[in-house]
Amino acid sequence: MDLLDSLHISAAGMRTQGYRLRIVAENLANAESVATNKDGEPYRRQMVTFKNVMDRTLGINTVQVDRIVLDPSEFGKHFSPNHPAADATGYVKTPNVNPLIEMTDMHEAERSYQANMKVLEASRTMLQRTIDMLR
Amino acid sequence: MPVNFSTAIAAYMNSARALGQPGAAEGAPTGASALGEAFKDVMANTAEVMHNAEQKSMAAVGGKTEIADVVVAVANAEVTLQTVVAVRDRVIQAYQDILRMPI
Repeated sequence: MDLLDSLHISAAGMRTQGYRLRIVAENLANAESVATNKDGEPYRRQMVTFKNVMDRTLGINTVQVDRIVLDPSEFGKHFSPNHPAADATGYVKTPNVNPLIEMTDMHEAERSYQANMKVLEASRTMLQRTIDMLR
Repeated sequence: MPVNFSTAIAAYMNSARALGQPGAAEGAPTGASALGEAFKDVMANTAEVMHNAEQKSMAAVGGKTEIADVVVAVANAEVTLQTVVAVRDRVIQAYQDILRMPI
């Protein structure tokens, strides 16, 4: 039934947005995670990509997390000569996490989650009202 | 609700025909038994859906599944059960209307 299928599709959307929020949380939590020695690298920002997947058992197209890619952009630099991870010039590489971008991403995930929830709610109400007609 | 004889019979036969479609293909059972068979199928399916919802809920309690999946499974079970109950009520009502008919 189409309305039941839409329940599954919305749930898949909610699931992926939940995963996205998890990645945002990881990025934000590791925004200060620098290397422990001077040859090491600090935390590299992760990004999520989505893809459209055909669910063969249900015959519907749902969204799924494609893969987690690492942000190749440059690391920041912070002058701290006494730090164990400081290089010869006294600079410590800092993660390429920009809290502003992460916050925007978080809001996007939140809004998307809410939109999926609304669709789920609407399909549930529609099903309910249809059954009520039987009574 | 006033129901006359022909309406009740027609409703009963209609539901028997509509639900008995898979059973009617083999052996061509009579209307009543086809309805019974169909109900057996529907009940088995409903029990399966309810069982699935219960399993999902228990898995969620153990932190093994997503809440969204539980929501869908429970909504699915709810809708299935309500449909079955509503159809049952309708069929029983039609049956009782026939029984109560003055001859």
